[in-house]
Amino acid sequence: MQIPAVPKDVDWREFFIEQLIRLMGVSAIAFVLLIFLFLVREGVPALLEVPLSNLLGQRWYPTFEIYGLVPLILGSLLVTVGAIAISLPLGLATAIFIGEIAPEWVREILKPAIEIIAGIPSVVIGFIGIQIVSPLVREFSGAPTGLTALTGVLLLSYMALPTIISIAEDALDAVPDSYRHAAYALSATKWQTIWRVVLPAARPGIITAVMLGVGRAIGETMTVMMVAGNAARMPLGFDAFLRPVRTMTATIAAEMGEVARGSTHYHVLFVVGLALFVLTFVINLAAALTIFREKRGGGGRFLA
Amino acid sequence: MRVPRYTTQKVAFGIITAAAVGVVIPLVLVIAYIVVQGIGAISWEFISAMPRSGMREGGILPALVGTIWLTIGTAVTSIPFGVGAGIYLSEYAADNSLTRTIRLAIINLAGVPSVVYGLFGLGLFVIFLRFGMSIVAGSLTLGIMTLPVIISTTEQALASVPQSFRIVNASLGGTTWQGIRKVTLRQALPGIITGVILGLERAAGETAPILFTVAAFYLPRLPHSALDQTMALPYHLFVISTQVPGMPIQIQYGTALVLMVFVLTMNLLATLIRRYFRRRRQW
Amino acid sequence: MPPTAKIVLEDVSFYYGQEPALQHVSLEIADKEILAIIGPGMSAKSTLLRILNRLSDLATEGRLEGRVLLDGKDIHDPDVSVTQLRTRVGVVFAVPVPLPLSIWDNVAYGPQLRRGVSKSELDSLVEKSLRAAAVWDEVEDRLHEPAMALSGGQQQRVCLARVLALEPEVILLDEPCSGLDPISTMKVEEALLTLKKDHCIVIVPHNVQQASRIGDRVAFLMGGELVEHGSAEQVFTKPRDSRTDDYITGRFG
Repeated sequence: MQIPAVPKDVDWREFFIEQLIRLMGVSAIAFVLLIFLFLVREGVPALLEVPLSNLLGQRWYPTFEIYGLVPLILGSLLVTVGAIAISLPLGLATAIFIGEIAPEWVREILKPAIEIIAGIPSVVIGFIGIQIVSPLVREFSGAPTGLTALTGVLLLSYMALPTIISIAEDALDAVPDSYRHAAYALSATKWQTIWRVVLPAARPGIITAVMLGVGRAIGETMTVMMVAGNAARMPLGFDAFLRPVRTMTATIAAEMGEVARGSTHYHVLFVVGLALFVLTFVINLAAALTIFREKRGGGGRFLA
Repeated sequence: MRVPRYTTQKVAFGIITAAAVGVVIPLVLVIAYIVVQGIGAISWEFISAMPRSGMREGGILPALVGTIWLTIGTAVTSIPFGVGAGIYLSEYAADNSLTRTIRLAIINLAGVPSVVYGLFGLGLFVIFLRFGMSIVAGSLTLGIMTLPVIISTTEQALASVPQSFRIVNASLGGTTWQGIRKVTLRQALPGIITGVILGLERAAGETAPILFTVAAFYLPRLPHSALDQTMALPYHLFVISTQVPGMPIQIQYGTALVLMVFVLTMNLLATLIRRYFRRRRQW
Repeated sequence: MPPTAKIVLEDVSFYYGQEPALQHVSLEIADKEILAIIGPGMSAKSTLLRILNRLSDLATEGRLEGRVLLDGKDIHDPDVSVTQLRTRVGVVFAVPVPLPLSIWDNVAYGPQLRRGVSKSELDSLVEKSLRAAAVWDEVEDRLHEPAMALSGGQQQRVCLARVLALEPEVILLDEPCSGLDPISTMKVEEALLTLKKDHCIVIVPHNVQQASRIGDRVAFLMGGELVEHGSAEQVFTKPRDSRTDDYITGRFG
């Protein structure tokens, strides 16, 4: 045999590297579990110390050991729903513009611009919110303060845009061109094609975009803490948007720095974190399931 | 009366175009406004001096240095795991339940709110592992938060390398790892670097994860070691814009400007790398 | 009968998932000869080639039945190193796939994977291989330029040289001339005729004419079945099976 055998140590190194890389892949699961574990570890004492009726109450006054989470949850919900109501149509329209209408050179400007929006630190957006948006809100609404749920909604909707745009655009992009050609062949206009063919075909992806946008908005912390006023009241009634509101994220960020480690208040904040974790977990799981469903089927025979 | 369909189209396209323009205009306005308002604060002293008189005077050096350290720390902790996991998913993982679980885990890591990462970092690194509030604890927290970005961009960059290269490697007696090392990884490197920079960009601008793991309110000195606390630019901006009464507005805008420049430089770098290598690519 | 069988296929079948591709093929492949595998499209000719150096392992849902012996040793035995097998049995694909490296690095790729090969050994190996693939004269002064910058014909011969640099015992070629102009095709064929002096060569030619020009033996595959197998002369002049006759006279395929 003229070919020297592959040295044994190459196989050994190969095995070692492969195991190392596999370990790194599996570490992603470990990290999710670790996060969950430590939230539970620090949160469970609260569940033991604070009666459930207290946690499910409508008032959040930690100083008096009143830990009603409902206003915080509703606050998060209000701000998130408001933000998505704005950013979904705006984001979808932008995605359609980028994917279907805009000429190449416009696209070349828009895509990096949207990446830049995604990269602006939330604290900068919060800062702009305080300096520019909140005075405007106060001016137009006549509310006593500009630090309101509406201010949070406006800024959050802008922050959710990059997520919604990029995923919606991927979804539009994934619609086969043959659909469009077929529509054109039936003498549909470009708009009719987009509205009646492309959008319906892209619907699962668009739903994913919405869900991930919701996840992004619900988890946003600094911006809402800086501009939404942080009053832990039940956000009910028509003028809820024009009053200060406090979200779960802002509560953790604002109060964790000031509580004594190991106190009930400290543990309750971990419960809030746990609730956020579970909430985003469910949202992302649902989003992921729509993605997986789309990807199923097909599969090449040869890798070539 | 039926509206002529081309009229409908014109109206629809008009609205859509307006929406897209409406998305970009605030970005341009905000950046321009921050530059105009903040440029006056920028001086050599501003970036090279310690803050004085309760941050109302002096510079932002410790915050700038702290953010640089945290960015480096994030890179060190997230790149090996992120790129490794990306390689695993793209080159090794079979289509089985383990792989699906990993993907699900990554999607969820990407969705965990940043403040929850902060809680996690507090619980695990600061308290349980006794790192205290420190650059190590902050970097590890930011590192894990950055993982999903790096993993998915690595995987995508590798997946875009033609499959035929892998077949050729195998046909010449190369092992999977040899193919990765000699061909695939090198081809995917620009994409990976771009993704890493974008991930680090996000980490550098984050505030919530460092709130309880490293960030100091007012610490007018440079960190002594990796186990030291430090100021950081995003947290500093938060502090001076909400927590310090009588803060000169120009310093606030100046700090915002420095943070934006820091972050946008990374963004620009990523874009340039991607463009440069996309042009040079042979396949 | 062939003097010495280099490769023996014993009742080999291959499935992609549930779908059978190759069915019950038994075949002996002689050393120092060229075997041309002909047949209409979708006859699993490429699959047969890929089985011989276990590239078929890479098919996601592939499944093999039967045995493939190389020098009497089953290539699927657990103690066979698949990477080593692939250096003994090299393959050239239909579409030339130069790696995104220089010409030199492409040709030296295989030998470089093994340790302990010096730079000067590699240099001479690269030159020898490029000469044997009849492309040395065209690339000798730009060995360190990207292989992808070459013309299709040159790329294919560099890919052949890349396989020769492995110093393989068996060379598999899957329609190696399909995209090439007649002159490049001729050069590749001449190279093959020289190479068969000390190699076992299995080729899927891109047409019947090429099989008749260079094949010593011909195997006719149809629908994954081996219809007929014999010396080129016999198959082309007095085929035993009417389907072979129909195919080589151009009635289908």
